[in-house]
Amino acid sequence: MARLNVNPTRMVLTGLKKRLKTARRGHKLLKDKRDELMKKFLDIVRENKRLREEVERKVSIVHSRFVMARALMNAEVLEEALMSPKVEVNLKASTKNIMSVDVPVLEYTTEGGGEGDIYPYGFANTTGELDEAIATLSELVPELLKLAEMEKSAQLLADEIEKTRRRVNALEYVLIPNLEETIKYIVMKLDENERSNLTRLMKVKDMVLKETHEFHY
Amino acid sequence: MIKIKQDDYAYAVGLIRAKEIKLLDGDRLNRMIEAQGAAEAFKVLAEAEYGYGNTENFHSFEQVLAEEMKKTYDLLAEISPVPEVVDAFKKKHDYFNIKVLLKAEFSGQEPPQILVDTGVFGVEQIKRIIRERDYSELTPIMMQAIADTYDAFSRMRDPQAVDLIIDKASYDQFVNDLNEFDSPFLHELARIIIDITNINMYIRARSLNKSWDFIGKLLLKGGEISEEFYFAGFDKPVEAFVDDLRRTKYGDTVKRGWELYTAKKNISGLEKLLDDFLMSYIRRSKLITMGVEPFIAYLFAKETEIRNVRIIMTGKINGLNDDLIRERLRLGYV
Repeated sequence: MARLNVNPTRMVLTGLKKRLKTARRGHKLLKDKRDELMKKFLDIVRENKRLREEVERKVSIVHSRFVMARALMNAEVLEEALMSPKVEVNLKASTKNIMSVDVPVLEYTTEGGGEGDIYPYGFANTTGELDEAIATLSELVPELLKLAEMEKSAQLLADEIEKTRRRVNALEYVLIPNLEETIKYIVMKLDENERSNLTRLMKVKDMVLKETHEFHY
Repeated sequence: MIKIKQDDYAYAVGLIRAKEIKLLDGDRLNRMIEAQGAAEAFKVLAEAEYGYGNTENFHSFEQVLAEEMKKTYDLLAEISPVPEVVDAFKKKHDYFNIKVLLKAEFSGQEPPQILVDTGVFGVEQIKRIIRERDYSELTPIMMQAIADTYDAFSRMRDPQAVDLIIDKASYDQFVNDLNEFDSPFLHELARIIIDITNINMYIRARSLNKSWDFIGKLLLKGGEISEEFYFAGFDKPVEAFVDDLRRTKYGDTVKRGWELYTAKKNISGLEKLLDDFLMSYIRRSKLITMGVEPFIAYLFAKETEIRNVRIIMTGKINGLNDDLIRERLRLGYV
C-alpha cells in the first residue's frame, strides 16, 4: 500500500487520524446504503420479472388477435377503423426517491372511454376479433406503463448500486489502508525521532559528566 | 324503378360463366393452406392470374388483392347493360373514402394512403369533393350523412360517431339503390345483407354490454327483422333473442353461431356462419341462366374469394396453424 506523501509531523498525524475516522464512518454508512439498495433492487427485479412475463404473455395474445382481425378485414378498413382514437391518455411523469435515487413514477389518466366504451369504430364493417384485440390491449396499457416504470427504476438502482459499491471498495481497499499505513509511518517516524533524541541526550550527558570528572582530576 | 331485362344480360352472363371457371375452388384454396410457407401459397394466386401480374413478392399480397378487386369491378362495369347495378355496389367504397377523409380532417391528419379506387368517384375526385365542400355530384344520402357527421363530431368529438353515421348511410344507400331495380333477387339480397349485419352487430354489442342507446344507433334499416324485434330482445338475455330468431330464416344459422360463441368466447364463428348464409343465397343464382343474378353473384364470389385468400395469406405469413385458418374460411361460390 502506498503511503501518502506527507511530512511526518504531529500536526499531520492528528489530521490524518481525523480523516481516518471520517473514512471509517463513511464506509459503514455507504455499506449500509449498498445493502439496503440491494434489498430494494431485488424486490423490484423480482416484481419486474413477474410483470414482464405477464405483459409478454398478453402482448402475444393481442398480437394473435390482431392477426385474426387483420386476416378478416381489408388493410384499408382496419387502418380506417383505428384512424383516430376514442380514448385520450394523459401521462404524467414524476419522480420518487428511493435511497436518494430519483426513480420515475408514471401516472396515467384516460379521457373518454367510460364504461368500456373504447372502440373508435363502427361495427358494420369490422370484425368482432378486433374488439377483443382492442379490449386486451386496453387492459394491457396500465401494466405496460407499470413495467416501463419498474424497468427504469431497476436500471437506475443498478447504476446507483454500482456507484455505491465502487465507493465502498475505494474506501475499504484504498483510502483506509493508505491512511492507516501513513499514520503508522508517522508514528514510527516520530518514535524514531524520540529515540534518537533520547540517545543524543544520553550521549551529551555522558560527555558532560566525563568532562566534569576529568576536570576534578 | 329501373327496368332490368333478362335478355340484356346474355353477353355479360356468358362472359361471367367463362370467368367463373377461374375462381379458386376448394381444391386450390386447400393447396394454398397446405403449402409450405407464404411464398408457396402465393404461387397459387399467380397461377390464377391474380392482379396485374405483380405477383413477385408475397408481402405485397394486399396490393395484389386490391388490384384483383379493382379488376373485377372494372370488368363488371364494362359488361354491365345497366351501369347503375354496378354503381350500387361500388358506392360503399365511396362511403369508405368519405369516412377516411372526414376522420383525417377531424383529427388534423393528412389523408392516409388507404383510399380505395373502386368507388364511383375516383380517389382524387372524392378528395376534392370533401376538401372543397362541393357536394353537387354526391347522392342526397351522402350529402345528408356528411352534414350529420360534421354536426355530430362538432358536438361530441367522437370518431366512432363518424363511423356510425357513415356506415348507416352507406347501407341506407345500398338498400335504396337495390330497391330501385325491378329485381326481386336484388331486393331480397339487400334485406339479407341488412339482417345478417344487424344480427352480427347486435350480438357483438350485447356481448360488450352496450346500452340500447348505442345499439339503436348501430342498427340498419331495410331488413326483414324490424328494429322493434331487436328492442324487444334487449331486455332478455342474448340466448332468448337467439331463440326468438328461430322463426326467421336465420334461426338455425344464428343458433349454431351462438353455440360456437358460448363454447369458444369468440364471435368469429358466428360471423363466418352469417357470411356463409349470404353465400348460400347467392349460390342459388348458379341455376339461373340469364339475368342480373349470376352477374352480381360473380361480384360476391370474387369478394369472398379475396377474403379467403387474405385469411390464408395472413395466416401463412404469421405462421398460424392450418385448423385456425380453415375454421375461418368463408363458404365459396364454387
